[in-house]
Amino acid sequence: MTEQEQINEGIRELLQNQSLITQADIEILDNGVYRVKPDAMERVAKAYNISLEDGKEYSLSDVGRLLYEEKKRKEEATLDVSKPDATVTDPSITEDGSKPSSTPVDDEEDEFEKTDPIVEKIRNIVKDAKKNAPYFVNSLVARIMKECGAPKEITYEELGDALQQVHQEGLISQNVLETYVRLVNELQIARICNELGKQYENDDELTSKLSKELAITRLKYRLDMTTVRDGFRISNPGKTRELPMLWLECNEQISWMVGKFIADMYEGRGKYEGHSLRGSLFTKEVLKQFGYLNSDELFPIVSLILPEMEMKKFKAHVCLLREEKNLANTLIRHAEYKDSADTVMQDYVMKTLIETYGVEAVGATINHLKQSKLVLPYDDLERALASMYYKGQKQPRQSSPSEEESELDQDVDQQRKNRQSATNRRGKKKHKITKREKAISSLEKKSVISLMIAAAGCVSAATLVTVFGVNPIVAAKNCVASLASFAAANISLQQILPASKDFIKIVASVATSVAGTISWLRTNSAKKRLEEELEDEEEDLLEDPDRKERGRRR
Amino acid sequence: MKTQTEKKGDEEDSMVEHGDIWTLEDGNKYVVASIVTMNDRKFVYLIQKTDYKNYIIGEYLGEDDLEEVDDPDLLETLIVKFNEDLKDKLPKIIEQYL
Repeated sequence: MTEQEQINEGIRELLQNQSLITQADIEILDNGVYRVKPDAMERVAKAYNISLEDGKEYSLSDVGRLLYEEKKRKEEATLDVSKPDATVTDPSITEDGSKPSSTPVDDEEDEFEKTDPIVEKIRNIVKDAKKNAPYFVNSLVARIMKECGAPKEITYEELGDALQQVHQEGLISQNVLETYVRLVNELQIARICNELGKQYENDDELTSKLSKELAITRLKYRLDMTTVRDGFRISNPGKTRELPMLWLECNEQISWMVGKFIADMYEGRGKYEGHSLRGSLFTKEVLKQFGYLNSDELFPIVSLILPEMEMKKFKAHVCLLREEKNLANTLIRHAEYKDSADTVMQDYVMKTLIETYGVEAVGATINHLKQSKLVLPYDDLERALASMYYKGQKQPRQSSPSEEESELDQDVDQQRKNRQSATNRRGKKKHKITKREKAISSLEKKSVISLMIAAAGCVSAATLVTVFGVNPIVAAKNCVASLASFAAANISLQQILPASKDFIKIVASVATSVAGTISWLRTNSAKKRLEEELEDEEEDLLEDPDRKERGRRR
Repeated sequence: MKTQTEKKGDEEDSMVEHGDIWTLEDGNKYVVASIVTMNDRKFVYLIQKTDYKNYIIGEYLGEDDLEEVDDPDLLETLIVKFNEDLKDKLPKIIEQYL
């Protein structure tokens, strides 16, 4: 989880804890900032033991950050024994303030004291960490490395031997050992890459050879940037600042070089002077040059260069070109896209799969996968197959459809009609106002106010759900509770609140509906844009000789 | 002195007020719960009188025309703005109505 995600999580938790803060405590300023009222801030500060600055106004984001920092501080404090006050509470200190020369320990500990001082140091660190459990293994390993002075005062190998010994004593688990090995490997690899990067720092003439050399070096050492980054993030960032910096420096160096080369390719510079590549030709060239980078590494770099829609097509091409010899693998990858909820790309991949392999092969492979132990969203795969198959059937059929196919077509057709109907319903629907009135009687005025209060609850909950991703029921409860502030001096809230015991449920339902509509419209408009793009792309693909060859194989 | 266009704008403004009850061509009555003006465009949050689950977020085009908003980014912005508008105006309207 990134820092920002943790901050957002903090805000969500806070908003869900209605005893501390309600919607009424949050004020939206003109600049769109969500200001938390001072009395609510005091409650939060008291509950979380946070100190506030005098006169400072706090936004929701500030509160989230304060909570995050407080949480982080507590985590650090749990494992930090280097604080001067740590000895004050040491129970082994005698009444006169002196410390006994030999603290009573059991026989086993005596035995350890005779061993290597590094082993003893590790043992003490581990005991201390266990005393303050729970702790993160990564933090523990990082702390051991730092306090033992690796790699300056002691080599990684020596520290590894000492850890091995402590492991044999049963004090640390295999997991700690493995984490240590992983961290050391990553650090060494990062240093190698960094050195390589520095060698070429002033070389303007970037060639694929150089990028390849770096990439192969990384591959050779199986550098997993994500794992290293997470490792550093979980470990104490304050104490190991130099480590992520090293990683960042190294990673940026490589990304920059790969990125520059790809940008040249796209914009027709350098080696590609006057020949900017587009569509599948672009993807093929990128893979030819950097195919050994995995998608997690390649996609973020390319996404800096390509426009959003081009990027979606690039991802789909990469998926297809890399996996074209193995339909099953492509389908598994397709299912992975499902996790990212990227329906546009799913559809594109499925459409191209059907075009490349034929609907029978795709359907049969899905069935084959079903028999395997792989857990995949088969329903979604089949739905995408059916949906994209239908779209592929716009041209006249070469043979008459089977009864089963006709039924499938009918189902898909119905689904399509339903979608179109939904589009019309939610889309640019126009209305005519046939009559305008104003509330005149007191009963009617009360009814209007009641409705407006209901609307306030609904819109407020919809904001929480849409902007902060708060659970709709929690958002509704929070917002309904805050409606009390609208009650006038001479009238109780009960008299004007909508008379429904399901009020909260209805507010939640409206909030969900608004958030759902926004999300639905977003997907739908992206799909429409892609369909337009695809028409151009199809022309590109037809000119691609490899593509024709695949067509013949079919 | 106001120009003709400004006068027309003022007249139109008076045609959309919080708490107004509009009957649409589907025969249902809606209350204008919130009004937001952005870039000279006026947007309304209508809530159906008999069932407040039913709402319309639309752009008031003048005269008697209303068009539902189908731009997701605009909708997201509008929801936040409606929320601000209601928080700001509702207490005053309650005071005025009761």
